[in-house]
Amino acid sequence: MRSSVALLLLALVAAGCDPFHTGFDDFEAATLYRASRAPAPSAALDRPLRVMTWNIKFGGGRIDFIWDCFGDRTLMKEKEVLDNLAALAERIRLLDPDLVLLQEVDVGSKRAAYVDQVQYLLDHTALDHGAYASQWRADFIPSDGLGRMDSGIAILSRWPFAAATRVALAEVSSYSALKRYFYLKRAILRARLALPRASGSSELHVLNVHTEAYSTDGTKQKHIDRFLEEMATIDQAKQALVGGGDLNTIPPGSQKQHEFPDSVCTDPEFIADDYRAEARWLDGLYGRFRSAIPLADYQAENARYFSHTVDKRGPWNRTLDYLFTNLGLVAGSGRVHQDTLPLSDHAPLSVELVLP
Amino acid sequence: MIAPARIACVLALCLALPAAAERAPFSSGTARVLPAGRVETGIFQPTRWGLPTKAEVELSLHPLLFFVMPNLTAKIGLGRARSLELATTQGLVYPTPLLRLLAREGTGGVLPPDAKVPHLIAWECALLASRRLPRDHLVTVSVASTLGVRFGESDWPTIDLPLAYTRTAAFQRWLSARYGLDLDGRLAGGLHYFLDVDLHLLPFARGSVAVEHAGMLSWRRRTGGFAIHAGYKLVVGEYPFGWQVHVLPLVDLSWAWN
Repeated sequence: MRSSVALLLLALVAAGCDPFHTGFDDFEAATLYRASRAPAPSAALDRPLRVMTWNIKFGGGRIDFIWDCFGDRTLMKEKEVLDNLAALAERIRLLDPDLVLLQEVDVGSKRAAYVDQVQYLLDHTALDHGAYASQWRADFIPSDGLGRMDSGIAILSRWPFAAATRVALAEVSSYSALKRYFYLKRAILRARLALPRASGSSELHVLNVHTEAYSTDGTKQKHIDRFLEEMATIDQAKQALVGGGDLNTIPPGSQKQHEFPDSVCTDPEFIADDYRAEARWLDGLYGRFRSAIPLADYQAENARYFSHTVDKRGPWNRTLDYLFTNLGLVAGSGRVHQDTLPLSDHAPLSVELVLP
Repeated sequence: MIAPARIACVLALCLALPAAAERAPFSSGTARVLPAGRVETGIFQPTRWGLPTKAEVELSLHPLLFFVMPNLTAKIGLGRARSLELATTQGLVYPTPLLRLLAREGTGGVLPPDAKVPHLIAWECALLASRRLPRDHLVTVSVASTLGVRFGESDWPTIDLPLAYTRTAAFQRWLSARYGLDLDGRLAGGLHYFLDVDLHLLPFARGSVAVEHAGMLSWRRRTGGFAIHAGYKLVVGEYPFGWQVHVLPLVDLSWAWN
């Protein structure tokens, strides 16, 4: 009896220490999803693997939000979210990928009218399985009227996951304890799946990341380095892998590196348009892996591969989104779909991979 | 649309007439009224004042909140029915200034800055019945209802926080109801306990049910002028997005003057 009381008291104290449930463990199982319909029969994959990455801005389309410094909106109506998601799903169906890496996907946030966007996209595309890792979770955020938040990264797949893990990344150390408590806690979503092949199945590792955008204390570089480390560990084991996401930095050799015209925020904490100190941060990834957009192609014509702008009128003005792999690329298949300007502040990037 | 039966129920609760009831210190949440002239206050509790009149009446208001959320509640003793002591509370609150203050950009923005908060007045009335149990224990049952009336354009989201969600529901969706069961008493010396369970029903809200349970220990000075309280509050509630469970710490200090 006494120990039961002690356990109850301990549980109460533990719950009281994280009253808004914002914390994560270093390693956690990702949340797995399935489309509401019956899964499609698993046919052998006898063609290149189509992979895509897209930061979908929590289904916010081109609404101007407070944090973009372009508008005054914080919350969306349910209809706005569903309309935006329908447009995103339509574009995914059109590209018909086998795997989609999503960043900024909300699964129960007040700002997105509590719509579970992973479930919505599974139910409205040909992808049957999803893995989700939260990057920003709080029962309530008392800032800008944000309220409840659950936003993160996800991988959608035609095939079920054998494993999916949320790997915690370093937090921004320069923020106050209060801000850190409610702020994003970024992660790598590391998943493994068995691709059905005529000769049996082949294992593929998939990594998704959305690194820090605003820190001035080196956190972004730590995130990129940790992502490279995770990728390299799998590569060293001679396992097939594809990884990518929104790395929030520009490729080496970018002609424009600062003073982007769509950066209108004046709060120094939210200015993210000077990449001059980051010129070599992606060297490790480009040096070890194949990029969906080969570096030489990008350096020959930057603008063709730009994938981000905050300004809904465009044009795209920088590249932040990447896919890297140790598999072969179908030559010329890497493409930034720049005709998606109304759908998100990022354009999707897709590529076709040759399986061994 | 509010059903006529609900309005009749609210009015019936609020039309009780004052009559003699027992007065007692530290009787918040019970059917007992503060002794005449006694003032009790706390950091988080309202300040309560037993009116020095023949009628058994106690007034209370939250002083910290008063300037941003004018509020006043009267507890009126209704006398005894068999072994039950009866009381009613009637309260008015004007939350508009506080809600507008909370609609802001940046830290402290509980509501978005573009929220449109109208003029709101809420009327809460409750009926309380307490019964003394052996060995200094007291059990209280209560039924309460809050009716919110708004004037002007209203476009502000729910506050999906434990405690706040249920207490602001009537400001947006006209009506909320609460049913409570409290137990309190003395354990030993100056050590007292308090346990309660409240069921909140929010008939017109998207998340419409919540159960709150509090457990608290209090130490009171023998002279009755000071008390310290510590405990927990468990909130199991339905919100617009689904169910959530929260455990919150409760700590307070209170002082009293006769």
